[in-house]
Amino acid sequence: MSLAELTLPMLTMAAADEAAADPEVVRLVSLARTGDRAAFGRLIERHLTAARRVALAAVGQPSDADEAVQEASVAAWRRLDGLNDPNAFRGWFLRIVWRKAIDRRRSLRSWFDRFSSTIGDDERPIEFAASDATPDQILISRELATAIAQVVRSLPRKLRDPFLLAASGDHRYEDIATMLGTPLGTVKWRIAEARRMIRIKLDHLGHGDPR
Amino acid sequence: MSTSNPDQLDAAIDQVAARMVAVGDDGEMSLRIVSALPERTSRLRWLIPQFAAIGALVIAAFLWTTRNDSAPETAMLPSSAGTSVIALASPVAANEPGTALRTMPLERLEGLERMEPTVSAENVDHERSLPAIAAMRSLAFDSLAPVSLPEDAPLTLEPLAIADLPLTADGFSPR
Repeated sequence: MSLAELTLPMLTMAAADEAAADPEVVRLVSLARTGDRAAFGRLIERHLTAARRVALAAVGQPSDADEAVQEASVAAWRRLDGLNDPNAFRGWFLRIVWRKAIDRRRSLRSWFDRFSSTIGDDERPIEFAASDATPDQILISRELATAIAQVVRSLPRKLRDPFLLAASGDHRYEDIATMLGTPLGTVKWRIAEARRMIRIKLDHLGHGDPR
Repeated sequence: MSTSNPDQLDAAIDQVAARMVAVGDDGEMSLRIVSALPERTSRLRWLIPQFAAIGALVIAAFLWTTRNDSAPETAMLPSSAGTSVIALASPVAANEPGTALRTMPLERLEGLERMEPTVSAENVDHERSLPAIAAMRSLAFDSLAPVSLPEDAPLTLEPLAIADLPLTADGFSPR
């Protein structure tokens, strides 16, 4: 993960149309449509990190996220003829990943509800190694990091999903709105509301003072 | 640790949120995905049976709607007990050279032919014409003499009763 993504991920919105004018993407899509698996593999590899982050934002566990990405890749391979604009492959693929991850999250929730597991579906410990801290970063304690992670996990999914997607730094607000099927203004409000709720809860936990 | 600076707290939230969706490098994942890809079938391949079924239905519908035009000899009415409608109509058509056998709605033929055949001396429909009226028999009286009248039934004439005619101006219509 780059330093910029760690310090100010919300402002590091990658251009969703980074492949908008990329003739290589068009060529790979054309090859993949003819059944070229290697070309499709190169296409997936270009967006694999973003896809895994999208899935992780939905399911919380890396293993589940990777399985969702794998299912989405197979689905994209089968539906490749339905992609009208090859330049829009990235957004199209990430939307498939998001839907597959949401399906997986629902099935996981039903499984956990059925067996009354005490383990949440996304209770992954946030690890902060000492080497992560650089002079350009805000030094935060393990206690504060754990508290923030717990507060983020406790957010309602409607607030947490756009907040984590924005935190990944891979998507613009417009892309998040498209991915979630939500109006742009609603996405912006939910992200701001998520941040406000996090600050309030952190204040109750004794961390910081909300504005 | 208590973070008193709101900007620092925001930055800490961003860092933790970014770390929550951080993924490690997995260089072999794309290879695993490619190896797990199924055989890619054409998008239209699964539509071929459906297209075939639709085509069969269209052909059947076409044949059904045009069956009278293509084979009129075999067209039978269920209530005709084996009598062909065309067979009945054919002699009529044969006797009327200028009359076409109608197998289509009249609305579609209005612009093509006359509604009724032209009646001429050559194509008079004798089969449909009324029987000739017999000539009137002439009234013949042998004699009007009183002696020729029958005796058992004397002739009696009732007196004629003629009402007064309204000869006043009020009795006439203004017209």
